[in-house]
Parts: sequence; structure tokens; C-alpha cells
Amino acid sequence: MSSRSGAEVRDALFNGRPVSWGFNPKEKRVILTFPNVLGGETYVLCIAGYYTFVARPLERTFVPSVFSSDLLRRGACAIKQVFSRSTA
Amino acid sequence: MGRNLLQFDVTDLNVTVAEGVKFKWQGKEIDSGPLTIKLGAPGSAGVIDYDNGTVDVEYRSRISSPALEEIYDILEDMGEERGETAPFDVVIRSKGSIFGDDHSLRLAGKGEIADHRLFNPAETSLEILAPTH
Repeated sequence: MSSRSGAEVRDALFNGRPVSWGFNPKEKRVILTFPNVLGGETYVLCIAGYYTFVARPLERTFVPSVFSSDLLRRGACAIKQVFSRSTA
Repeated sequence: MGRNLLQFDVTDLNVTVAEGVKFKWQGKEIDSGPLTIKLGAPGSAGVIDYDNGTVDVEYRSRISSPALEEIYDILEDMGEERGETAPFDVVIRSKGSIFGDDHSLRLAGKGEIADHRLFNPAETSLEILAPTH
């Protein structure tokens, strides 16, 4: 729904800010079948609008927002390497 | 080390099917008017797994339209139980992928229809297709 980069969107989520994603209103993405009492027809329809996610507070403290997943992975690898060396 | 997961709540769902549908009821063709899909019962939530690049989400949604509301009113006037004329609730369970470049989501899902006098779950279905790009 915005032109923000993936890192910016992820940072917003981890900091507890709401993030919304929109639907392309020209794309037929819904298949809806009505029951027989209402004719029993199946419709393929376009949808417009958006949905919004907000991270749960506990999750927001799980990974500090200043770290990207790559940094965390690299950090974990570095710690593992140091640990391996010290115990070898 | 724990997995790289983000649990979230769905705090808003605001969807419109502007074109609506034409359906039959008691021998008459009725134009539903714009269909709206919004959050219904509480508890819509999901999880993003950044390690696997996946998203799982459950939307507890409510579908309504001006024509459906009129039919519910008519049924209620005819003495139907209130529970049978309540709005049409659907739990949509979606799964999909997350793309790192712009954190876009590619979700597809199916709806589980709640018991309803008009929208018999055995005959009613709702499917959300993944976006083409």
C-alpha cells in the first residue's frame, strides 16, 4: 500500500506501527458461491480495499528493530564461531 | 535460538466488492449492491515466518450488503430467530509468501462459513485467489 522498502515495512511492524496492504481493484480475486436458496450462482469478483497488521507487544520486544534478520543471523553465526573456537 | 517469527493482530479489514452480485430470492432477481467485507468477531491474527518467507493469517470477517440487510429484516419481520438473520460471518484462512524487496504479501485463502439460515455452509463458499504478481 506504500512505496516503502521491505526493511522499512519490517521496521514499522517490529516497532508496533500498523502496516496496511491493499488489493489491486482491477484483479478478480474472489470466487463466491451463493447457496441454492439464493440462486446457487458462482461469481468471480474484483475486490478493493486493504487489511492492516499490528505486531503483538511481546513480539515487538523479541527482535530489536534496529537489527535486520540478516544482521541477527550474522551475529548468531559469529557467536557460534567464537563459541566453537573457545571450546575447541 | 528461536525462529524468526512475528505474531500480529489484524486490526483492520476494509474490503469492497463494488460491482456486487445479482442473486435470486423467492423467484426475484435481486442486486446485492456493493458487498463489504470487514472484521467481525474478535481474534483475527496471524504469524509471519521470516526464516521461511511465509505468512499465515486468519481473518474473522463479516460480509454484508444493502440487499442482504433488507432480506435479514424481512426474515426477522416474518418471525425468524434473530440468530438466523444475523450477518453472514466467514473465517478466511489465508497462507502465502512474503517478498523481501518491498515486504509485499502474496496470500490466498478459503473461507469457512458460519452456520446461517440463508448461507448454508454446505452450499456456500468463498475463496480468495493469490494476486497474479
